[in-house]
Amino acid sequence: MQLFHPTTIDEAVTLLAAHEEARCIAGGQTLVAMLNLGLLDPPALVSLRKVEGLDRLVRHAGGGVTMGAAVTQAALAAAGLPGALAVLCEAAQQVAHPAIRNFGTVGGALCHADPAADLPPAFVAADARLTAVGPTGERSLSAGDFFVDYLTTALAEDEILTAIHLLPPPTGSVGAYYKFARVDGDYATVSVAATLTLEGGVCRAARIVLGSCAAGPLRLDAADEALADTRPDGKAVARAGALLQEAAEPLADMRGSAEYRRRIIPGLVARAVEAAMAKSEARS
Amino acid sequence: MTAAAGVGLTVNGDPLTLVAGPGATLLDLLRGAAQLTGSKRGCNSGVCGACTVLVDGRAARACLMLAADCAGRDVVTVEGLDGDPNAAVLGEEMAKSGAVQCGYCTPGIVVALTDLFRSAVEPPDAEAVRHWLGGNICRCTGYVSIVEAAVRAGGRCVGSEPGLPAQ
Repeated sequence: MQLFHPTTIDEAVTLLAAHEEARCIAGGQTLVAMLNLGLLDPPALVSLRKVEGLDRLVRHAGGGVTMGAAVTQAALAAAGLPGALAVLCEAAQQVAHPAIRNFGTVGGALCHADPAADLPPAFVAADARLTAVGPTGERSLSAGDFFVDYLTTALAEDEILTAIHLLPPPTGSVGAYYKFARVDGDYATVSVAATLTLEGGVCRAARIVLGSCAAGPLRLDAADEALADTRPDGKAVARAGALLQEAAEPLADMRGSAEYRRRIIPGLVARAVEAAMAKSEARS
Repeated sequence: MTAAAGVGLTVNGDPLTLVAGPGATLLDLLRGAAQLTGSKRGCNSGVCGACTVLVDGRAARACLMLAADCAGRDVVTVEGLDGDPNAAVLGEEMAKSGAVQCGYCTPGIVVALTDLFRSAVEPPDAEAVRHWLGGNICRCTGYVSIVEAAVRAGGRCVGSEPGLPAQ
């Protein structure tokens, strides 16, 4: 196995294209475990560790954020992002354990696309846009379109996720990530990422995204619409939860049966919405 | 690199060039070429925490870092904490509590807690310690005495005597 250390994205893209079945490695917190377990044996690895600027988190005037794909989960956890973007920090705080978050990267977690991971649903709830760079140039795609299937993203084999962009969160927006896991630091049995835009207690827009309930983050227009223009009370939240429950196709594994997961969805959606609402009340 | 190659890094303050094969991890390097066997190989997949070391001042899983990707990094293992005042206090409290049974998880726990004591602004309570050690598994299940010792040591270390200089 060859390991390359490019210092620019262009160089990294060239290396990735030049070596068939090469993989990118950033923090390596999942990839190296897979190598150790013999689940993966790529002929070449392109390390992104020395690519200039890829670990930078930039706060724009107005509240927007651009983060390089190699920003660590620990850095995102501590970033204190405002409004709806708090969902990203809360999700990052709950990824595995401190030593993993110190080196595990945001981009790595998104590209691995584990349906039970914490960051994918949070980035969909925050309506992030992702930049991918390949041999023919750069393209932008929404987080919602990025996750295609189990452990599969819309990235082509010769593309690298380089940056994640977040628009300024709307005034009155709040975000929360509610994770239900069997033990501290485990993957979620079910998780819910919620962002709400509130105006005098009325929800103008919502994005509710489930983790660990489908092949990727699960969001439904109908569920989000069920919360729009309501005071997100018991009935509207129960309706959104029921719609998501109906659409969910969870796997069965050691963290819970498919039926168990489906059953707890409405309750967890309610807790996530409640946690988000509580922030709005604390603010006013 | 394709075959074994030299990796230049600092281990416990000493600049070393160690030979690492392709696919070797930092843990392989430490336990093999560097002959530092304090860091234990438990799960070899980042779950158990027995191989926890400090990399560039932050707790890290040695089994999840490619050796060749550690070039230029500063690594501190449990052996390198000999003389660290926080680790010394922790050692005393762990002995007092009987917080060591088979001992396999102990080095990782000592490194992880040393990192906590160095970075915490106030002494951690039992809940904070439990949360922090969530990624360190003790298969003897001796958690109660480990947490007790950590809370007492944290009370003595955090916010009082300065430990190693902040990174």
